[in-house]
Amino acid sequence: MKRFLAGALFALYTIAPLADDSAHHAKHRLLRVFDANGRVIGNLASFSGQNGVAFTAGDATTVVPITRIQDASFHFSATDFQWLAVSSGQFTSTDCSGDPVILSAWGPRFAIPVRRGGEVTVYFASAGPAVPLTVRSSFGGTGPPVCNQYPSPLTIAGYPAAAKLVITRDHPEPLRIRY
Amino acid sequence: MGRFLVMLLILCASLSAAGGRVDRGRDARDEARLPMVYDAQGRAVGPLAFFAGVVGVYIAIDGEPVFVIVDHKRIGPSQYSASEYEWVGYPSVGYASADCSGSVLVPLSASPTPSIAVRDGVDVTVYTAVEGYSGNVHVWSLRQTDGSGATSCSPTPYDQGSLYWAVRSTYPLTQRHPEPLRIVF
Repeated sequence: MKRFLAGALFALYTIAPLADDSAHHAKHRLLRVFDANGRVIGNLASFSGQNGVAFTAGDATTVVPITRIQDASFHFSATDFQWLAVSSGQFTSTDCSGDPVILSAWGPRFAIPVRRGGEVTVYFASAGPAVPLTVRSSFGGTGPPVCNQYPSPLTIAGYPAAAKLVITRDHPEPLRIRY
Repeated sequence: MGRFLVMLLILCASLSAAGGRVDRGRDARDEARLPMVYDAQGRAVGPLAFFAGVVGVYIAIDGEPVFVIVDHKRIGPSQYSASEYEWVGYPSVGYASADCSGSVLVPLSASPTPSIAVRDGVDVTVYTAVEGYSGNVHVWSLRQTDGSGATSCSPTPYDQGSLYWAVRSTYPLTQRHPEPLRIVF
């Protein structure tokens, strides 16, 4: 009888923490964003109404938004996503070299993903307020992305880039959201 | 024998207590404590989530994540329950026919896998999209639901199929997760 009691108590003690776990810590799988090679890029994140993936460079973290891919006839893919990036930029150089200035005020750290020459690069704003920056060239707008030198330099308020990540180099598009 | 029993009990008690401690510590470090969506039977549907700025919960259908919107349960035309939630059906449902007959089609929607939740009285059904690009279907009528819950069918002036997919799967949402829903930390 005692042995039975001991066995029963032992069983109860070992089961108790398991039962507690399933009741209060129900595990639910996180959604992740995968690249074209099926490799995980990161968890699906949400910031200010946009879905994306968080990237960190140094002490700066931002979210790069993703958007559903459209084909040439404006039909949408049921499964495939791409980085939501701009195809334009303004530069302090006269030939669109170097990093573009950051005019976007979006992200945990302000940042802008730029699509150029088949690559998407996210530029992180330097810490602190916007500063006056002298820009001398730009690319983008409608038509092919050619660089235009400004007739005269222009001073605008923006953020210099503190860091950049070429996010398509390690993680080619299209992207997918899966468990 | 009595001493053995006492030792055994102490051992088990300390083990389970230690297990609990480790578990709490891991949760605090590695997992955000998310508000959970529970169905009327007290089963956890999943953590409350945001997709494209909308509040809802993910449900796995055919192993694919499908986002379903939740909102406070509507009691009257502009009256909502403070505590109870319900599944939100789409206010506009597209059909290939001109009179809202036949199969529902799946619109471009706020979900990793395009999907539509359709409310028919107390029943809510989720339809998911086939793979591939939208536009292989036609949409010639929309069944619209107004604020009071009344539905009406209206033909569309032109084919809106470019933003729709055919149905891959049908998921009886309120059968699996009955309303009302609750959101609890």
